[in-house]
Amino acid sequence: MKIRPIIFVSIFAAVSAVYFLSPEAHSDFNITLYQTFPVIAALIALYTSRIYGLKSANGRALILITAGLVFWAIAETITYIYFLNGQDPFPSIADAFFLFAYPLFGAGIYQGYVTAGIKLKQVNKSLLTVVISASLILTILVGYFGVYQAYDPSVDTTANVVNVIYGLSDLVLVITSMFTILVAREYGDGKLASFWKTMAAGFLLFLIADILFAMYGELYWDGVKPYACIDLIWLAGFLTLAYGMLENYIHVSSIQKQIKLKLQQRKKG
Amino acid sequence: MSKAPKLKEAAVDLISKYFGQNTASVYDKFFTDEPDSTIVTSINSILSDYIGKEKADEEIKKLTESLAL
Repeated sequence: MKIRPIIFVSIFAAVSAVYFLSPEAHSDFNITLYQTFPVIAALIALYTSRIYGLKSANGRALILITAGLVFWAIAETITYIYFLNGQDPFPSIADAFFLFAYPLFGAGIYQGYVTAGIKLKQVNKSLLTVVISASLILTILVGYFGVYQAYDPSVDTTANVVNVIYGLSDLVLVITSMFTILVAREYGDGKLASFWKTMAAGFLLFLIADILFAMYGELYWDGVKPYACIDLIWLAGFLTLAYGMLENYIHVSSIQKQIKLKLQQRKKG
Repeated sequence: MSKAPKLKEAAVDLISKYFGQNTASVYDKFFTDEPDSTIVTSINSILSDYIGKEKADEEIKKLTESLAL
């Protein structure tokens, strides 16, 4: 039995227990605990993309996704500092970092799509139907809750513009998640397929959290459980992306070690 | 004219595409003085594991066709 997925699931279970059992979901301890995950995910992604370099087509996809994760880690850190100081982080420079990550993710997935050499006409029709149907359902949900309902006449124009842009950015997430599934399919039962499936799962978790936040934002900010625990879904997203990056790093590193060992044996022989 | 250097370069480029420059440079050293069969077997093995058998076969077919092997 693989130990690494068990470790990641256990970490998530432990943090979930802390959130649900705490008297206050957004206590300083809980938000500090949450804050570690985007940072760890970004660090793991940076470490993974180092072994690829920009000349690698697959590497470019990973580097772009990593850049998106780094932007989100910065955004989460800024938000965290605002929370610790008892200030409302919305809208702030954190939103710029949050929003700029979306096109980076989109570019990364597109690079993955190009590298896979997918021809849409040759994609399995049943899969394509499922992917398009899921995209439409998610688009309707995001469009309604994230864009249409995002407009609040009681707040200023800047806040409304930022809110709507978040909703539109989530539409980018919908499309990228669907493309990720197609990319994963292209690689059959290979390790790279597992990587892209994990990326798809991570992006879908972020999307679900964003939709729920758009629906229950007020209850979230009031600290009402379980709505205040939407953080756990974002956290699950960061854990999932971190896991995908880590597994990929371990696989490629092991290949490098094996071939270096063969080279050493050849020199001795 | 030997096809081995061209095959080696093409194989290393293919490895770089999926595994990155670091891995490709290690394989570049490993493939030096190796026969064609070893090079093709090596890349088939690591690619099949990483991108699946079907995709690996597709990539190697493109590689061998481009070298007219």
